[in-house]
Amino acid sequence: MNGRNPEDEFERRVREGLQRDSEQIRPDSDGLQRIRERTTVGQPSGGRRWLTAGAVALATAAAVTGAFFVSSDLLDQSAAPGPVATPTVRAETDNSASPTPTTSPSAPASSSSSPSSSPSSPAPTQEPTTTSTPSQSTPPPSPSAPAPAPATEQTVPVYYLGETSAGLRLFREFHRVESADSEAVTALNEMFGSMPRDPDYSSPWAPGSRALSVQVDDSQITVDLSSAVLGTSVPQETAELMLQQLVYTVQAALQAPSAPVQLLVDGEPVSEISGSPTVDRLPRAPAADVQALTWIISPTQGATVPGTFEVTGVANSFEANVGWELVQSGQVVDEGFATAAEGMTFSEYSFTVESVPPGDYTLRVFQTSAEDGSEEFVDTKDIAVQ
Amino acid sequence: MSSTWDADDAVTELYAAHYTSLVRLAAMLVRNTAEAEEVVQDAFVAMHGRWRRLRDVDKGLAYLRQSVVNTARSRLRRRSVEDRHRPAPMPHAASAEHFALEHAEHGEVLTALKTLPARQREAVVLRYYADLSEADIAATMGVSRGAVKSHTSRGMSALRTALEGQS
Repeated sequence: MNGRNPEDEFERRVREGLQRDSEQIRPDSDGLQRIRERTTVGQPSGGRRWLTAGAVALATAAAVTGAFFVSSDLLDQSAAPGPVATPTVRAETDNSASPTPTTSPSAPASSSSSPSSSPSSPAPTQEPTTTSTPSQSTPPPSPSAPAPAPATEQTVPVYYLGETSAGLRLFREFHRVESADSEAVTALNEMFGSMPRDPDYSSPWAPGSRALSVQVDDSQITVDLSSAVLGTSVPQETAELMLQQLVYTVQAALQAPSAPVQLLVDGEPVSEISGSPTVDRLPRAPAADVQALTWIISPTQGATVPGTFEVTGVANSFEANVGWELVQSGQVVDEGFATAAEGMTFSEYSFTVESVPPGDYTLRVFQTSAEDGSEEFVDTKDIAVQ
Repeated sequence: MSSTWDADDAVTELYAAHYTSLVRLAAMLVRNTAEAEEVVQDAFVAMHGRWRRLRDVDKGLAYLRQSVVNTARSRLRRRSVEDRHRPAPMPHAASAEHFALEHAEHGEVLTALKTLPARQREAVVLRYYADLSEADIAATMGVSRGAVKSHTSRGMSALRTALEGQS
C-alpha cells in the first residue's frame, strides 16, 4: 500500500518476529501518572481539568491499545465535577460502556502555559526525575565516575536464599529501583537492605550491611562493604552460601560471571565473615552446588497476568522435565509438565497456562525426584489473574 | 479536532493510543523495559512542553518518535562509555541463565537485533516494527533517505547472519 516491493521471506520473518517479541514487552500501568507528575508541577488548576478529560479520553481510547489499565487513584471521583467512567477502566470489558468519541474537552488553550522545559529541538536532555532514596545514596564508587550521576531507574538482579529439598539454595529476583549508584552497588544494596519479593526467600546479612563501592579490573571484582557485615552470625554452611549470594549478585549485575570477588570491609581485607574465610578472592561456586535447580523468572511474585499467560524459568533437571501446578485455595486447578531446552544443565523452560478464570492463584514449579517421584526444588509465585 | 486540545489532552490522548507501542519501540533500542519507559516518559514530558507549537496529533506522534530515537541513542552512547570499565562477559559459566533471561525477555529477533550498530537497529525497527515510510524514517532519524536505505540493508543482512547462522 505504500508502494514497496513485496517483502521476501526473511523480511516477513523479521517483521513477524519483532511483532511477536515486542508483545513480551509490557510497560507498567503507571506511565501516565509519572508523566503527569512531571507536567503538572506548578499548575494547580490544570490537574482537575485534566482528570475529567483524562477519564473520558481513556475510556474512548482504550479500545486502541488493547490491554490498558488505569489505577483507581488516578481517576479520583471526588476531583471530577462531571460524570466519569468507573474507577477502573479496562479495555476488554469497557468498550461497550464507553461513549462514542465526543472527546473534545473544552480547552481554554490560552491559559496556563506549561512551566516545564521546552527544548528547542526534538532532542530532549535527560533530567533526574527524582532523587535517590537515602538508603541508596552511597558515594560514587569508582574513580571513573567522578561526578555523582543522576538517579535512574535500574532493573538489577538480586539473589536470595530459599529452602529446597537439598537445603538452602540461591534464587534470583529482579528488582526495579531508582538509584544514582552503579548497577553493581545498587544490586548489592538491594540484597542487603530490601525484602525479597517472594516471601519464601531471605537474606541472612546483618542489618545495616551495605556495599560502599564496587570496582572492576581485568582480573577481579573488588567489593568494599560496611563494617556492619561483620555482625552477621549464621551457621557455617549458611555463611558460605551467603558469600556466594553476594558473588552471584555482583557478577550478575556486572555481567561478569568469571571474575572472582575480593571482599574488603571499610577498605581493608578481613579474615572472615560469620566464620567463613574472606582473605582470598572468592571464586564463583558451581551453579549446580548453590543455585536452586528450578525457578520461575516470569511471572514475578505478586504479578497480575491475563487469563492466558506464559511462564518462563530456568531449570537444571533430570531429563529436563519440570512439573507445574496452579493452585487456588489449596486446590490444584491446572497442572502440567514442561521440558527445558536441555537436561542436567541450567536451561530455559517455558509453558503457557490457558484460559484461567480471574482470581488469586499460586503458581508452583517443581522437579520430580528420579528416586521416589517426590517433588523437589519447588519455586512458587503468588499471582493475580485478571 | 486535535488543534483544540491543550497540552494535557494531547498527552492523555497520545498516551492512550501509543504509549505501549512507543515503549516497545524504545525497548528495542535500549537495554530493558524500565529504561525504555523512562525514554518514552521523557518524550511525553518534552512534547507536553512543546505542544503549543505542535498543535497537531500527527506532529505530536512524529515528535514523540523522534525524541525516543534521539534519547535512546544518547543513552546508549553514555552506557557504552560505562561499559568500557567492565570486563567482557564470559560466554560460558552463567551464560545459561543470562541467555534464558535475554531470551525470555526479548525473544530471538530482538536478541539478534541487539547485536546491530545503533543506526542500523533504528532503521530496521522503524521500518519493520513501526512500519514507517522511508521518508518518515529519514525524518525520525534525522538522516537522508539514501542513508536510511543503506542502514536498513546493512542491518538486515547482519540480522540474517545472526538469525540464520545460529540455527
